[in-house]
Amino acid sequence: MGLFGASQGHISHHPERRPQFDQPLTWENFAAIFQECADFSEKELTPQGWGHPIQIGWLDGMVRSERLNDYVLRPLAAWPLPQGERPAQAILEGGVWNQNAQRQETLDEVVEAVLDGSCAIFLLDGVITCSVATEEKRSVTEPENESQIKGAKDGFVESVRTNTSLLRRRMRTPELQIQRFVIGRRTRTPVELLWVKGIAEERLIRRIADKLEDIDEDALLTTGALEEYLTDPKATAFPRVLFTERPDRVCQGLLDGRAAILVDGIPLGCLLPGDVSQFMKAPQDKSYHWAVSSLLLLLRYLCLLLTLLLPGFYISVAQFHFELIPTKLAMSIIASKQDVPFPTAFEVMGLLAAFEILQEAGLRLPKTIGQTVSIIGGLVVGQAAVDAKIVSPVVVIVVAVAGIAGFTMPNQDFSNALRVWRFLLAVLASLLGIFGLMAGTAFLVAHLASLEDFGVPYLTPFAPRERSSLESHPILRKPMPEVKLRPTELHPANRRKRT
Amino acid sequence: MTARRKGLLVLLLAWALFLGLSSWDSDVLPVTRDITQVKLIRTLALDKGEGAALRLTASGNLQKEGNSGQSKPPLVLTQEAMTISGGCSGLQQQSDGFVEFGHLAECVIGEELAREELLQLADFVARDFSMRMESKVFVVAGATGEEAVQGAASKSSALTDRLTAISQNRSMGGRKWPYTFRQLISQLEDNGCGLVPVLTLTDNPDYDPEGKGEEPEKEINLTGLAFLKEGNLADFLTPEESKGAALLTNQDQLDMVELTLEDGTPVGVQLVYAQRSLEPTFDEDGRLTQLTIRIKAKGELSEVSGPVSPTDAQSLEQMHQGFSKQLRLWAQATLDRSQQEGADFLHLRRELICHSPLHSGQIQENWDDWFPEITLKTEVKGEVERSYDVDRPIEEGAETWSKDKSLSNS
Repeated sequence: MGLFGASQGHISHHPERRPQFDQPLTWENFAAIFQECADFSEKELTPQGWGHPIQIGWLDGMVRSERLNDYVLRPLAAWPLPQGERPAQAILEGGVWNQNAQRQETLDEVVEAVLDGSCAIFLLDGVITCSVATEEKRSVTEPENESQIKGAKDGFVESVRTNTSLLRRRMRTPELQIQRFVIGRRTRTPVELLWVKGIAEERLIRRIADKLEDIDEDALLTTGALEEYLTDPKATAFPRVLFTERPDRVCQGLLDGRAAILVDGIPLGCLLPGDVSQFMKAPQDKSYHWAVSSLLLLLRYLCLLLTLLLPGFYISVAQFHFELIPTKLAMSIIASKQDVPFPTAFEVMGLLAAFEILQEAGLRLPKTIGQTVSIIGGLVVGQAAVDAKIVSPVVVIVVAVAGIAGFTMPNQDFSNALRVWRFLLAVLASLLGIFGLMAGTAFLVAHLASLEDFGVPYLTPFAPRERSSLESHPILRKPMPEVKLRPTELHPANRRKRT
Repeated sequence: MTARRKGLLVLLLAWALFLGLSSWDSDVLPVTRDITQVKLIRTLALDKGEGAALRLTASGNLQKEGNSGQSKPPLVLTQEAMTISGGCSGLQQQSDGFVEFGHLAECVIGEELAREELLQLADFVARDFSMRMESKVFVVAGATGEEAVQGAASKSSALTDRLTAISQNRSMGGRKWPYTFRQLISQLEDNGCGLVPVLTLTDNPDYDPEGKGEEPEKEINLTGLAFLKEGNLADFLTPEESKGAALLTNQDQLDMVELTLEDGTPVGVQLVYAQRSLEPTFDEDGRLTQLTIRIKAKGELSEVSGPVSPTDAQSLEQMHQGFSKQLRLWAQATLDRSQQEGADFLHLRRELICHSPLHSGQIQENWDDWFPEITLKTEVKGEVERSYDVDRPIEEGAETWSKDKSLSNS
């Protein structure tokens, strides 16, 4: 029995079978593969003057009917095969009006193309696939979780090609490189690795590409599946890959020398390697005046300390070091806690747990009901708990301040990690007081300092390998014209950003 | 990490969580005292005991009853013991919670004990980790500290409230209350002399024994200062001497000086600034013969009645002179008393050494012989202003406005 349940023992390596379908490339074998698929459609067609039928197969819903009819079936039906021509070759040379008509040699290739939205045309001398995929998808909308007042309003969608186009529109340079991978034995998900040639370090790109190639999964449906393959998931609760809905943020990352990954079906861009300062920056930071942004950044760092340490600090002073509290505050706390039957640690952790439950409940429910739950849970039940002397008002304030401070974190993954550590620090504080809290904090700092991805330390701006590499301030935002170089830690091929 | 290790880690975390939530005490872990179990002691009265050497009386604040806004009289605990530590330990046993001295605001010492053991008390506070050096020190004249605590305790007040009000009123100029254990120890360290504020108890005319303790039985007032010699209370200063002492130690900001002009007009001047400097005179042998204390003071004309105009030059001159004279009288009275008692509670020696470092060796060596014989002279240069005169600022302001070219051009 381990931390994650019963141990599965040693599982032998099970390489993916390639080719998946090793039968000869015939219509019968092809149709047999899709025999149980209700959305598989086939059509036998005898073009005029050909003298023999041809078979066409496709998957309904994956293709656009108009394209199939207008640019494949109609030209084929009306096009007389020139005397002596081999049909497959003739089709490739203009028999159908399709830019992606390709001759396929194996059954695997044909199946993959059909699954990707092509139709397969089985001819006497070969098989041609024509891409007639539907482009039905969600239109580009404003990012829900990263909206900003001064800035672009478009966000990533589920189509990887649309997403690359959003990036291309911002970076009109051929130096923007895109490498395609297909990940998932069953899902065959297109994944694209992007970087800017001449800025990103080549070794970094190679290492990421190697990791992507090594992913051998049944499916790639969530961001976690990608992140946990690229970094060591057991090492920390803190995010090490920045996921963003905003194309402009990805562009900024690419221009800093980072790499981006786009996954088909996931409306997020992923920037790596990540460091702690990235998770504290909001998209609008560069839209506001540097003084305002710096102030907001400072406020965010203050909130980070509050959300992480406040519950633990309160437990420490209320249980061990009440001489640290100003006298009037101590008296006020004593008066408010007079009839509460629970020890402070139990009270704080109970309320922290209740806060987490409320938050989860609010997220899972539809928006309107979620708000009601928050109001009833937070206000009504909270007030009732205070009136019933189950919790003291001070603890409600402490937990609420810690919780709300956590909401100021621009990155949800980072905020979640802080939630985990908040509990741990509260437990340590309840055992050892301020000493426990400080020991836990020191451990946390040491833990973060030990993290490194693709050669970039996680605490990069605060603990750079070389002090001279610190071009911009770790917390405050310098005026942009003064930041002339890219971060050294990313080892960019070209450090200069602006003249 | 093996499965066994992971299991152990989970058990360890669960154990830690259990310990935290249950507030379990262990020899390994620090002792947990939840804030709800704590009785905050705000005032500690120390008196000479009847059976034992000391009598300790500890008092808290008014005890608020939840959020109802009502309160109970403060908790008062009394204990006799041979030592303060023993007394504190005894107080601990009397209470149903943990008696916490870390928030001690005031220490009230009965006159009898202060005359005998003040230095030891200060020494205890300096050494004990739970006491605060910033606690204020008071001596009760003609009564015990316990009487002060008990007499001030009612449903609506505790002694600490009254003493806090007194110390805040005296420090309106922004200065901190100067008579804390820290200052007391600093003074006693220098030459065993110093100053402490004196409280007196009077019967409260509004006190009604049947009135369910709504009003305190005694009124507590600050009546001046007492001086210490050889580490213990020596005697009380007269009100004039107290004012002089406060003036000479730069502690009497914003105090009121009442004068009478030649024509009998009463004038109220608020002292807003006072600075003193020393001018020693040494003879050929390097012996100190005279010490002149110069005081530069500023007063704000607060009140004047009758036909006297505050802007009249002659009246102002009379005010300057009267103000200076009054301050000089106070300061001289204090200096004379200090010399008379042979107690350098104004710490002139310390200041003189800083002022004349070339003579520091001689001063240190001979101060005790010189001090009773030197001539202590006071010179005061007082100035009275009326900076908030309603006429003057407007006229000056109007003139400035018209002269400002940039403003008039715009």
